[in-house]
Amino acid sequence: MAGAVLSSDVDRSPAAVSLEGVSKWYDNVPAVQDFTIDAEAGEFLVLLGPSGCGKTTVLRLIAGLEIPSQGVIRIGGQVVNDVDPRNRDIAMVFQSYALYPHMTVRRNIEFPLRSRGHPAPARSRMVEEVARSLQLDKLLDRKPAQLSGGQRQRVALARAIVRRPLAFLMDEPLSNLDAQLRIEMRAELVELHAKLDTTIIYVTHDQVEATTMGNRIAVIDQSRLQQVGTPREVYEHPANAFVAGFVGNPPMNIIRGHLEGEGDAMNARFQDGYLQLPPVLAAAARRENLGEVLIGIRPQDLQIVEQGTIHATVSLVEVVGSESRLVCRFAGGQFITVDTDRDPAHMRNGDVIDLAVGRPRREQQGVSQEELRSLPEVPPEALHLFDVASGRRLDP
Amino acid sequence: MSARETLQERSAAAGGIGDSDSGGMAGGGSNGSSGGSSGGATGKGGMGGRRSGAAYGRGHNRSRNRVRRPMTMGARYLLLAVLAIVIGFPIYITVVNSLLTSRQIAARPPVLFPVHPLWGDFAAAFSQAHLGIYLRNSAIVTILIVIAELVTSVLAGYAFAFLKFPFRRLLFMACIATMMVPMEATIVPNRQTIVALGWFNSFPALIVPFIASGVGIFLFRQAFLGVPRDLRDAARLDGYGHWHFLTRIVIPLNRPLIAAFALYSFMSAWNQYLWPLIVTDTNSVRTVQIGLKQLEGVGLNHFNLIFAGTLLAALPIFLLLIVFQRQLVRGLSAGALKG
Repeated sequence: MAGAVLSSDVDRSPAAVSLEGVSKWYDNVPAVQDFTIDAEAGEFLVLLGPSGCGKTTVLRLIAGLEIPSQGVIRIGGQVVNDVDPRNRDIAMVFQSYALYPHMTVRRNIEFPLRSRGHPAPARSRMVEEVARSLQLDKLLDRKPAQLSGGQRQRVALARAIVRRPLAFLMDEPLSNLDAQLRIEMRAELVELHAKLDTTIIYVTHDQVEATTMGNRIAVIDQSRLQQVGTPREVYEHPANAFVAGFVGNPPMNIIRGHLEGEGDAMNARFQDGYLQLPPVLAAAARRENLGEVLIGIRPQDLQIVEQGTIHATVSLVEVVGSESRLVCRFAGGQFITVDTDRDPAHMRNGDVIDLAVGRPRREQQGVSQEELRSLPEVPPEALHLFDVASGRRLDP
Repeated sequence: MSARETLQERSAAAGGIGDSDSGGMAGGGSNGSSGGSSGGATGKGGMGGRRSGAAYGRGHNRSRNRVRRPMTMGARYLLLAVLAIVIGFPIYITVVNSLLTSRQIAARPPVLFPVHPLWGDFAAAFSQAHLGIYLRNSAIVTILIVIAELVTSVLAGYAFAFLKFPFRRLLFMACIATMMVPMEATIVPNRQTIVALGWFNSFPALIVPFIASGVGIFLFRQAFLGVPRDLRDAARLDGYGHWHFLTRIVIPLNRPLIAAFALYSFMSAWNQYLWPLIVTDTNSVRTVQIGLKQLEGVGLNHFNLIFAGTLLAALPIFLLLIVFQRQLVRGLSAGALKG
């Protein structure tokens, strides 16, 4: 007891968390493969991926709830592979909140402090301090069953915050909240991160959460790390076709096309049209000596034009705020999404439209409607090429 | 035994018997789904009936409900009243007979109300029939069995639910298997073991064979599987090992079930007759159920003593049932709610 020090009295510097070549196998099934990533001290790193991709396993490996099959995990520069979870000084917020149902809010928040031998008056002070900061001070004597989802979420956060850990791990903590509350809590978590100046590793399958909250995003699929970067980097330069299709709402359109032509004049042809590749992309494709490529185009980079090289049939018109979203179908059956600011009243299901790749809305100022009608030049940044076999991005 | 069977059935319905978590869940799931489908079928039938009733016109349907409902309720209460009499009358007549003389007990028609109750029979049961010693012995044996059975069942249940160790499945199956062997099949070798150990006529002979229970282990294992894994993980990160997780989280969460099991364990131990009879032959260690049988030896004309003794022997269980009634019901329904 004498050795116990109030965590709130200590200036706790956030710790860097790093994984080096970490893999985890359950029997013969890989959950995480060759995972190498560094979360810098004080960083908000988001692990993003679809269900079952292994992102929660990464979190559990960092927490010490799972033992890695191979690789090294470091927290604050120290290897922690053999360190018990209780000694890693890591706090975790679970998707289910994992509140102890028979304990009051006060006892729940206090629980991690008891095991660390904090004296009762100090515990009480720390609990009240954290409860006040999360607006839980009036709920301290309630049980979790008497709280709303958002309040439970706050209690889970308070329990994590109260002992000032070296880093926070959060496993889809907002997924059980309704849409409105989720938006509010997202903002609160970002504020909290700034206030606490701590390292947060946050798991989610929601790319909106990832792009709005994270300093960096690590995209995971099929137990492997696909790309790490800032939200803008990941969005604008997806490392492969999976990342391109996963990050962005609505997802990027991915069309398979044959390459034809010589020199700088290279076209990617598919069943319902063709695209003239910008010279830099044509050069990249030629360098790789590819016959086929996957062409990625964001829905907002497709424009409806009078005469274009891509033809599609409108299947569904959705009004999304001030814009419209068209879900169109190629003759081959593939769907393609187009975001447009055109009045949806002019669109009908079954209309055949021409499309071209361009970004008029960003460059719209000073561009006349006539000029918008046809967009002969395909801007290279609006087009993403990926290798068919590996899905890898072809960089100019 | 019937009480234990009820617990066993409830537990099996709640979680299945599979060793792995998924297996257990799958068992529970299939039970649940079959129950659900049959419920659905019944529901459909009910709906069909209601629809055909509606075809006759609303007014008709409503008036029929108005007539039927009180009749149904009346029939239900009548049935409950009959059942209450069937169950309650033997208890009542035991109380009455314990307050009568032997001559009055033998009288025909029987005396149904003691006009001049004789309370002295209760004191006589203690002084003449050594009931005090028997009750004391029963209390010692029962309390120790309940404590030991609870401790072993909770610990083993926790181990099977939360720990991974070699031969876990095999050991759990062995525990389950003990529930399927009737006591009659093992009573002779068990007695020989007790004699060989030199425990004949001793408290260990009455207690040790019952310190672990397959039913208890099975019951607690199933209940503990219902404790969310996230709670265990959260407790680990909060700095708590298995012992503290068990004592501070798992046991408080399963308090109603523990109370219910303790009560059933108490009843089973208190009401034991055959085993104490064959491993003891002196009054110093014999339990109250055998003591009641001994009362017959006091004299044929002392039926009132036997009735008084019977009431005294039943009193602890009766009091426990009243005190723990709520926990008993919560314990029995806990699994169903969790499932």
